[in-house]
Amino acid sequence: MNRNSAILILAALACIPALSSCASSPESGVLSSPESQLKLRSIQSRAYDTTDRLMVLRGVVATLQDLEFMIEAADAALGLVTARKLLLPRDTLLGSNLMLTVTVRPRGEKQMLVRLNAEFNRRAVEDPEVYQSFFVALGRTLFMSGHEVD
Amino acid sequence: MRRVGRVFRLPGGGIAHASGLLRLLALVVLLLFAHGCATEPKLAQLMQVGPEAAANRALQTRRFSEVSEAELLAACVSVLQDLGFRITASEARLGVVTGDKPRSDADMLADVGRLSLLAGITMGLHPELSKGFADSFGVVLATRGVGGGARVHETRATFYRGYVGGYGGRHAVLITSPVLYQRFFGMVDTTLARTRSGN
Repeated sequence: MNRNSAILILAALACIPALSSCASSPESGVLSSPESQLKLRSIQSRAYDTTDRLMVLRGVVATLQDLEFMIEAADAALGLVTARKLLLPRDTLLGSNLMLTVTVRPRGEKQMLVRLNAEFNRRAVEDPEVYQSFFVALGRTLFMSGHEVD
Repeated sequence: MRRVGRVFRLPGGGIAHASGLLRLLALVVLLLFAHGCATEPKLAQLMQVGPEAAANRALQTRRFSEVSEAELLAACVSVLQDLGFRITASEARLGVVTGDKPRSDADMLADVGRLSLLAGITMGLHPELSKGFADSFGVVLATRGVGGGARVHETRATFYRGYVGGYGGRHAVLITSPVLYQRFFGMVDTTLARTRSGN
């Protein structure tokens, strides 16, 4: 090993502590949220005039089936449904994955609040139209189940 | 003979020119950029109920009389077990059951052979090749009471075919074959009849 190589290796070793101190810790993103979180939450939520939580949750499941999502988990006690859609690649070069988390909880004494979180390829969807489309479909399903339309 | 770039010795004993490696690296970088720039599918459209949804729903739903929701769910689970499905999630209070099942090795091999032949004949240009081959099935079952009566319920089953190895990685497609759903509900009917008769 000549002198120049030894200097280079020493310089590289000296850089390692500096680099590791600059790096963010692995857990630094756990509690972070986008600045527009409040706005996003309002886009993601819709209240329905009913007190029947199970009926709304069943409506969520039926809507997800209509939209061809695969249910991954459902918990009536928590009012939670998660679903996934693995998309046929058409516009994207690699595979795409649309994940939904839906929660249903009472709001006041006369309403149920449905909140939807959508993720596309592990990134939060912020397009309001996506959420509006889902709530329109859910509203239709709830109306149909309330009126026993086959 | 003119040499282009430096020659590298590969672990396997082969050699590669630096320019070749650079070209490969450039291709990988280009692919990564292309993925980043690729237009996302219209997500809002994916959240809209399509015109075929009503027909699909009718196909996927069957009404059963003189049966409680718990009995109907149990019969559905029993049929899924008979068919070799693994139950992956269930919530009886919502009447929901989901499951999946790997496709048989023989069926997958036959598919690989067929697709290889198709790729050879069409030089990899046939659109079916982009889908890859089906390696699994998935199912989502949901039951609900009908008409307020405790003994009339309907169940809706949605079956999916899972694909792997296409140009876009893993994806799933809804199965819309009427025969499949008719056969499944026929099996549920038989299981319910068997349960009622105590067998």
